[in-house]
Amino acid sequence: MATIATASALPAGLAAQQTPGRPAGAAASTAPLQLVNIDDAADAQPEFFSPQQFATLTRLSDLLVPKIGELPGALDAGAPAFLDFLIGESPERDQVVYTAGLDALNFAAATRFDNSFADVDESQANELLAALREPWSPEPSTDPLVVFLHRAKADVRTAVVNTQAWAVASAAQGGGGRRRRGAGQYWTTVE
Amino acid sequence: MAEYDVIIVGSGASGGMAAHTLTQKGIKCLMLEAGPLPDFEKDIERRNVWDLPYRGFGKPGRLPHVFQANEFNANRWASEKQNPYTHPKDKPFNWVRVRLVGGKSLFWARMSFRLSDYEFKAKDHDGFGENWPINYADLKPYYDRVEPIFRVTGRMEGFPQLPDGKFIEDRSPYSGAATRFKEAAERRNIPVTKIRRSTGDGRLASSLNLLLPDAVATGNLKIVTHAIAREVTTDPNTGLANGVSFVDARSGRDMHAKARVVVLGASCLESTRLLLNSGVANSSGALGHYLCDQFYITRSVHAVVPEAMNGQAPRGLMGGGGYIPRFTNLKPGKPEKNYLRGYALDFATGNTPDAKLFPSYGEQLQKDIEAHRGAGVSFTMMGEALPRYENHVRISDSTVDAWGIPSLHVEASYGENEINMAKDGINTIGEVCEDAGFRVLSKTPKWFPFGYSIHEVGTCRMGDDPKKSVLNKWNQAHDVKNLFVVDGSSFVTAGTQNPTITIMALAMRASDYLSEEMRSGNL
Repeated sequence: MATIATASALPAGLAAQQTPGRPAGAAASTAPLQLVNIDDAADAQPEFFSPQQFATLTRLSDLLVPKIGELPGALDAGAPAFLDFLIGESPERDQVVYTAGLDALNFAAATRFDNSFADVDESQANELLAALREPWSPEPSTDPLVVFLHRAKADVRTAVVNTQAWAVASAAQGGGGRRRRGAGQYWTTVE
Repeated sequence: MAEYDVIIVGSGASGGMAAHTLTQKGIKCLMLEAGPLPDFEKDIERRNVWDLPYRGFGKPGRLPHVFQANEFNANRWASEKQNPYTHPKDKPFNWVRVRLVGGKSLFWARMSFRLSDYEFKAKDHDGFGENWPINYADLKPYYDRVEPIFRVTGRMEGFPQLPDGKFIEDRSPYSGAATRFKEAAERRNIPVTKIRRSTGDGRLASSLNLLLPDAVATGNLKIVTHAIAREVTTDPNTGLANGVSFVDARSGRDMHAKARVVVLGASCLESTRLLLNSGVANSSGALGHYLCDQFYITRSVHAVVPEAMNGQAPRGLMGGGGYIPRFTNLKPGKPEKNYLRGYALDFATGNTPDAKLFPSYGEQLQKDIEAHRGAGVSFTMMGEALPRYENHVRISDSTVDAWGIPSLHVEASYGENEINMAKDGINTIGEVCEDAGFRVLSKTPKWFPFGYSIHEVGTCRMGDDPKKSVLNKWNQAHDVKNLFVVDGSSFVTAGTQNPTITIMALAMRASDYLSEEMRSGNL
């Protein structure tokens, strides 16, 4: 089922249905209204992270989930802008994981390479993500940067995998098995 | 207004079983359910995750204590805003509630394992805590009657710590990976069997479809929805219960219903909260205490079957799973381990390990996931938390729910015994995996918060001694003889087994006794 897009997306769709100059007496189309997914219709407006934090998150997202073959990457999926919204809506302790982590990542880039994380070269960026190449441990790290990197690794991936583009590309590759990826039983509001 | 024979608070596994048993004996019952009647046709629809407003993450902060909630099912859990509770910051407690006709029995995992005398007579075995006032033989006839109603599948094994039941025999074969694990485990005297599961009508195994329809059909059951119980009311002259006051959730109207007997099956902590708010049945001081459950570590061990890597698994190697009943400290005398009692596990084969377990990101992570797809074997550990006086609930000093009813404050944590048990469990299972030729990817002894298993029991425990317990061996309050509590709050110990089938056997047994007492004029 499609989502009803908000106002920014509707006029174009409605305009197409209301073509002027229809001959008098001609039957109106009876085709069901096709609605558009909001993310396919308009751009989210980031507003939570600072411009520098957002630039850092954008670069990091691209490194965590790059475009691989037909599979969309984090930038195709609009993951940074979506996370800006999600984290902006989240409890403060989650916001701090992100803001402190992004600042720490940028600080590390400045200290080590005299550059912003958004602008370091690829090998420098990968050096700054060394913690993600360490074997997994059940002990949570006490380093805010490491905590953030693990959190971002999970969140960016989810923000990409849960898009229609990923579902389509993944199904084309035979991924996800027989179950159609991304659909589920939704409980509507119970009175 | 009519006076009922019995008011039953709650419509889930315990309240439903009480209604099922009592109405068939001709007893007129009124059931109070805090939530509405679910409609599976109307309330559920298929949606795509990308059409959900939070892209599957769920609305942040909406259900902070319900780890089972996701953006698809968020609407079915009781609202934490309307139904707040408190806990110390350093002692998180997940109180997971469903307010619908059928209660949590609508959504349980349906695992159906009997307790044994290792639980009922736990104190005799290791000296800790108290025995239950009943033994396995007392409850066996009721398990025998409950299992056919719920159509439990399982394998007859003859394990003393996990008694066999009236099963629909599970003849399904073990997969190759499950067989390898089972054989490696048995070489260490660790038993493995099939999951024992209530199948119900195939789709649903709930009070809603298996208990309440029969009860209503007798003509002896009336169900009121949106009824938020406030207090059990008592006659000031006799001290006996005479009804229940409640709030109509839709209008906020205060209501009261009268009955000769009150039966609570509102869930472990809701029944205890109701009693605490009513100021009854607590001459022992035990009410609210001895809260216990099983600590849960989902994916406590995650291993990989090398032959299943890169999509190379031959047919029949992966799939299915099994159950490992408690196997430690079963011999009488000094415990063989540095902890008391034990743990059970269920395992599944053929899954894909979580991305967090791979030391990679970007393109390499995608390769790692693809290589391990369907090759995983994971174990959920379920360890018995000891019943301790200090793990307790009490009425909050300051917090009330949306209807002005005082909320609970929950204070519970795990201790040394559980820590040692968790460490031993992951190491033991890790070794068995290696024996089976699996590669161990991760071992974690870190549990989710207390309550996460939704197996909270205790706080209104049974016992022969009225100074140490709230209920007698018939789930009847020592202090108020026409008041019964038939849910998990009556447990003395948690055991390692999922509690629901035992809750229903206890509710049926208590209801049989109650109907006999009413017939003979004692109540």
